[in-house]
Amino acid sequence: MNPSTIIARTDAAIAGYGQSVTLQRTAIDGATGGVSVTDEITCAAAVRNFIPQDLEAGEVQDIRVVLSPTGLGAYGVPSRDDRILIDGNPSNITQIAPLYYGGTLCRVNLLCRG
Amino acid sequence: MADQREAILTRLVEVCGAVTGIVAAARNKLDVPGLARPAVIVQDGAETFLDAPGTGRNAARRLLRMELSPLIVVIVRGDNGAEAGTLLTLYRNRIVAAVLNDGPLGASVVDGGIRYEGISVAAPDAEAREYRGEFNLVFTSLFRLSDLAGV
Repeated sequence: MNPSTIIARTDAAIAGYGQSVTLQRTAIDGATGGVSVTDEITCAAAVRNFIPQDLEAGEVQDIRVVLSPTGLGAYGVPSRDDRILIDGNPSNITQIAPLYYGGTLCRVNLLCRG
Repeated sequence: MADQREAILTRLVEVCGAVTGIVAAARNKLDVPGLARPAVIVQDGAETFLDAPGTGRNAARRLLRMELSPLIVVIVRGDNGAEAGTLLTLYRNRIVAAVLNDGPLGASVVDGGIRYEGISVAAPDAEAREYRGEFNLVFTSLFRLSDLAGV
């Protein structure tokens, strides 16, 4: 087992049951609170909604997203200041869990809400 | 006499949505479409009477003063270059000013009856960049139970 093997397996899994998402790096105007997008990347991701959230009133739900470093490229590991568009709908990124093996980024797990 | 409750709530959402800098406004939702920020959500809140309606044959025709207390929720995004508390103060000020200066809302109340009851800012969620300030405005209007009979 080595990092490239793990990344290849992650890529294969995402290719099998993943979908396209867009990560957006945002900036906030300190004077007005307006949100602008300063960088973005579209990549493949495995997306899963948490079914129990459907019992809550309203439209907001938690979404688990798995990303591969292959798709992230120069964008790097997302931050909590970023947003993610899933099927065109923006969600906030509430938790980020990058997984490293031997010091190499192999996978990024996100918990999103939107 | 028309029931003022719906008129006040409908107009309140319109006024909040028209405040400079507010990107989206909604009513009775957990969030606005597309997580647009800064946003305002108006929750209908409570309606209670100031004057006891009493009993008797004419109680339904008695004119009462009612207090409507919608909850106004301001949602901003913060932390990377923006102090959320400053933004919440900014939009509280703008919304209160817009409401107090709005003609239709002023015409819907009695006794100069729009009252600001303070703001509450929840402790920030440790895992997100969303900040919420919630405040109540209390609208005092006239109400007669018998007017609803024609609904």
